[in-house]
Amino acid sequence: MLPRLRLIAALLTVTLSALAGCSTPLRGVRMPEGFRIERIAGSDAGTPFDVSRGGAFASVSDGSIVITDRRGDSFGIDRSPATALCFSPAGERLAAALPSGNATALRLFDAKGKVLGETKIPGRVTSLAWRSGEELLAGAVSIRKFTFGSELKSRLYQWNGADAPVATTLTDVTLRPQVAKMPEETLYNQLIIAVSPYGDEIAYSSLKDPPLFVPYLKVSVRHLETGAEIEVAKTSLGAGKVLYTPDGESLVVGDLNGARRVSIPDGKEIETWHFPGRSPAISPSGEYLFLDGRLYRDGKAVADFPAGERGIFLQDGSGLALSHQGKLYLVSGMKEGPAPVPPSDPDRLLKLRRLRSQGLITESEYRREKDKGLIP
Amino acid sequence: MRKFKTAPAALLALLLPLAASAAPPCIPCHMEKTPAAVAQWQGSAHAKADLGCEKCHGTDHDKMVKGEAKVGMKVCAPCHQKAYREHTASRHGMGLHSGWGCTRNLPDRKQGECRFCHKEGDETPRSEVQCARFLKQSPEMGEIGCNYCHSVEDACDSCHSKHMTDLKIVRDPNSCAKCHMGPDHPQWEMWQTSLHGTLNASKGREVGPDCQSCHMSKGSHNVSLGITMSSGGVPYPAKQAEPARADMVRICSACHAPSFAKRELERNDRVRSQSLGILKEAEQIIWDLNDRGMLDPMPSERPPHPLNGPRLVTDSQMLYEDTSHIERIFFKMKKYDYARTVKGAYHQNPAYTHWYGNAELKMDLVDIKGEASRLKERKKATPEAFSAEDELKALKSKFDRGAIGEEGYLTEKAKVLEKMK
Repeated sequence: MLPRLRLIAALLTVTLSALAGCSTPLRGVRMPEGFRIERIAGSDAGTPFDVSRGGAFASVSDGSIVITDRRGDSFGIDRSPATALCFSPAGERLAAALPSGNATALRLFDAKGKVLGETKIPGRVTSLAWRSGEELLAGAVSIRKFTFGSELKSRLYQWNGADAPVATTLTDVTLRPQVAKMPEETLYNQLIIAVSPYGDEIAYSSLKDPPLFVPYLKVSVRHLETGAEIEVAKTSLGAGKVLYTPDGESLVVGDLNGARRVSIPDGKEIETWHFPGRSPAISPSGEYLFLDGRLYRDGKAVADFPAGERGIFLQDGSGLALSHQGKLYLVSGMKEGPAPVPPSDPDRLLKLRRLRSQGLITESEYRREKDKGLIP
Repeated sequence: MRKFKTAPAALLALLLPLAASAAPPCIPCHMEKTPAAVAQWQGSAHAKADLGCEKCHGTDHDKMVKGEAKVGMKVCAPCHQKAYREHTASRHGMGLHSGWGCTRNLPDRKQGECRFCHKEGDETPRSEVQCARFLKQSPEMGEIGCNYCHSVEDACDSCHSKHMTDLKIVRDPNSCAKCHMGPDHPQWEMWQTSLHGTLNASKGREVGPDCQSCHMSKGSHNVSLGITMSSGGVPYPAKQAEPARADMVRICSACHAPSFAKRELERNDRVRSQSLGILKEAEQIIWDLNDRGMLDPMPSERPPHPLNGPRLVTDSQMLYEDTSHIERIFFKMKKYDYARTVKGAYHQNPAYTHWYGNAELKMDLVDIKGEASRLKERKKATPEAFSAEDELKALKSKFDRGAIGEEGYLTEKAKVLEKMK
């Protein structure tokens, strides 16, 4: 009798949940007409997820990496939990960072989950980004504790999927004892790397702990070929993120207090949002911006989701993937504008950006040259 | 037998003049070991004033034997305070320290060298100034080739002899010639073959002034009095130069009308600034080549400069070895020919000013321009042609070092960007 009652109760729960999922799968949602939300896959709280160009979702569910298609069909590809996941620009490859003691394994999968390559790098990988279809960038942090404080070293690894990754030290700082005592997760998760839409630069955050001052995060832009680097912004320590706007000429920097858009290279504030922006996401056209649970369109709030949600836009701009309480949701129905028109002469634009990064031409010279028909 | 051996020493001691009684413990041995030193001291004012060996050398014989009891300037200073003050205020007393450098990291250094710059047990050098050319020398070359002159900072005996005090020695221009001669600054030769020197040779110092007449006027030990430029020939700023010029006019006025002296010196100032212009033109050519990666070899491709590392150096620390050919020409131009032109003019020597100096300076510029053309031609022939980025880097470097103004920089940049299309 008891097993039967249990079975009925379980079926009832599943049915109710399914019905609830079809209509309002999330509580506290405010969306404009035409928007839809549906549950896609499992996504463990606080774990990474990504969406491919083709609309496949990669997430960590029950401690394993799973890939889910738009229909909701999932398959597991690795039983290890990942600290970072990132689809290649065309979506045919997925990179995963898998902790392994004091090091991290970088593993590449194809769309079916077959392992294409693997390498191991020291430290904890906190951020993954594809520079192109051929080159993966990984930001890794190592911390060594001493009696007088801790040494925090952040490195950039450039990996082509086959050879040994090439390492570049981004920062090497000694943290004072009081800063070194901060929770490990806080210390590690300071290095966030974003690649410019042109693949020539990265923007990254790094922890600074100057004596007699409050520690902070420095946001820098680094040209990958010349190594020229400039500081663009400062932001508070704690959860935060930096990302490029689609035209590659400004950054969105977010933290617990809000988010702002700053110009490159002078760091001038262009736009601000007074809403927590620990994990901002921007749509491919730049029309939509998602902060921690709030969706903006052209600067105006148009939808609200449960606070603290993390989101990633689909690469065609047709939807937004949200992670909330162990589940991955897809919001669709957005009216995304056209993506920025690519430059008529990309080589020349890259050359100008390279010159600008080294201070060989000024910002106004760069813009003047760029405006001469380079960007239609 | 024993009595026979000690007898000559006893006899010698009896024969010593009464004044020498201040140093009896040293004399018997040193009459045998260093008879010249003893004889010189015996005839000196020091002996007459009853100043014995220990007054200057101390009493630690072991130290003396090891060469660790150097009679430096501080030993002489308590008695010769005025001379010490004047000396330390002059270029002899400070600037020449730049002739040295720390040899700590050189593989073939000698322990004894430390005393040139450090007091015993003190790690802090007396001066932070170092000399790249000194650091390139072997210890032996450093000792005879550099320190024999540059030790003047802390050694009265660099000009005065060690044990004699006869002023006739130091009043002889030959005592200056030891250092103030040769290709880099032949002041002695310039003076000797000038009208001043000729008159000195034929009529004596009352008619023809010598080094001391003008540079150690009235017995002053401040040899820099009246000089209006650094030892490298860089003119002093007006604030420093004007009082120095007034001093020199006053010195010249002992024989000449002040207006004549002033006019002569001002003409020489103009020769100096014209020569400096030629020198700067050559220096800019070299920096321009460096900006364009055309030096052969480039600073990054040769042993690093001891003080500046793999960077181009054309200032007072420039080298004549481990350098490119064009820089070697510039070294000669700056250290020899510019110095000869300018110092030749101030020493009233027409041949040094013109033929050994200015003519060479101008021919050096011809050589430098020719070498620059050759290097540029060679670069054109290489597969890695000069890119717009190289062009902009060269322009930026030129602007940063003040060789081009802002307007010119912007114009040139616009041309490069236009070409880039």
